[in-house]
Amino acid sequence: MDEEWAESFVVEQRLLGVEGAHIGAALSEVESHCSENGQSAQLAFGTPVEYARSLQLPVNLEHSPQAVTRSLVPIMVQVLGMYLLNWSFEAALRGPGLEITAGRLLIPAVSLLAMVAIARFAEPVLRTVVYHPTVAGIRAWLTFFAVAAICVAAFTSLDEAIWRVSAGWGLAAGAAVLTGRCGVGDRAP
Amino acid sequence: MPSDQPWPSEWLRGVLEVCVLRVLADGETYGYAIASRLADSGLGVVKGGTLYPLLNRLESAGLVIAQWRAGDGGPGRKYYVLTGAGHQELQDTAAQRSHFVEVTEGIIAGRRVVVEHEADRTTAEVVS
Repeated sequence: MDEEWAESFVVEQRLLGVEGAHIGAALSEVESHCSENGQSAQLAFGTPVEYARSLQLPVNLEHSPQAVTRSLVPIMVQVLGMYLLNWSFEAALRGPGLEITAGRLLIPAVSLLAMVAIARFAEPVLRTVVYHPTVAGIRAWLTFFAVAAICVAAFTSLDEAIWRVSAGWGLAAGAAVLTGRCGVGDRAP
Repeated sequence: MPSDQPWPSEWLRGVLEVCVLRVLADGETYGYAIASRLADSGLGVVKGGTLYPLLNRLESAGLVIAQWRAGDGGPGRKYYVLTGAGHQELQDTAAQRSHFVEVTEGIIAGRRVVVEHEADRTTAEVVS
């Protein structure tokens, strides 16, 4: 069987979220059929992408956008803890306390939104990376610079303090969030 | 029309499932053997890209059961066997299709068709 055809078939099935056992069985059936009739996989089954989609094999629910997003929640909590710790450490060095501004809140909000968006649209993003890597690279860079520009603009312009706390409180809270998340992660099976 | 495909594809789409069920009714067999039997019977070449998605749908619908077996000196084969529901589906679909063919032949031949609508079904009778 044509290795390139098989590879494209496997990649497409993976992008669709199909479990490995089902992919292996489907590929074995292609190999068996082609060895019987002497035809190539392309001739007997058509393009690997179209054939992969036509099979409608069971999808692993653990790879669904919802499941991936849920799995990111602990990571997002850690990201928040990291930001809080970082700001508080800076405030502790500069004094007198930690100022929470709208601009500061926007940066972790954008980070979390980006993580959710990537998880939610993981399949089309991965599909672009696999089949159009140059386009994916250009889009990634443009998106990164656009988001960075928005964050910098917001951070510098939205600088009125919404909330003031002591740097010590911020350090403790940030450390507690990171430590608590790490503790949860250690206990997880 | 390609020489290995004597019938329009839209015609084949309507009959392929019942033909595959009929082949399986004769006993368990594997994909390539099903395709060969259909080709030898005059249906033309049924490509793997058409046949195996259909077999998958039949398996998902509970009409067939599939089992892998070691091949004769080559790759393994996935054998399909009709379930009880599959036999019933074949019986029902074959009867319905036979009636459909009778009706369409009657229309093409210019004979009059009397249609009766009942609560749970519609019947059509070709009259001379």
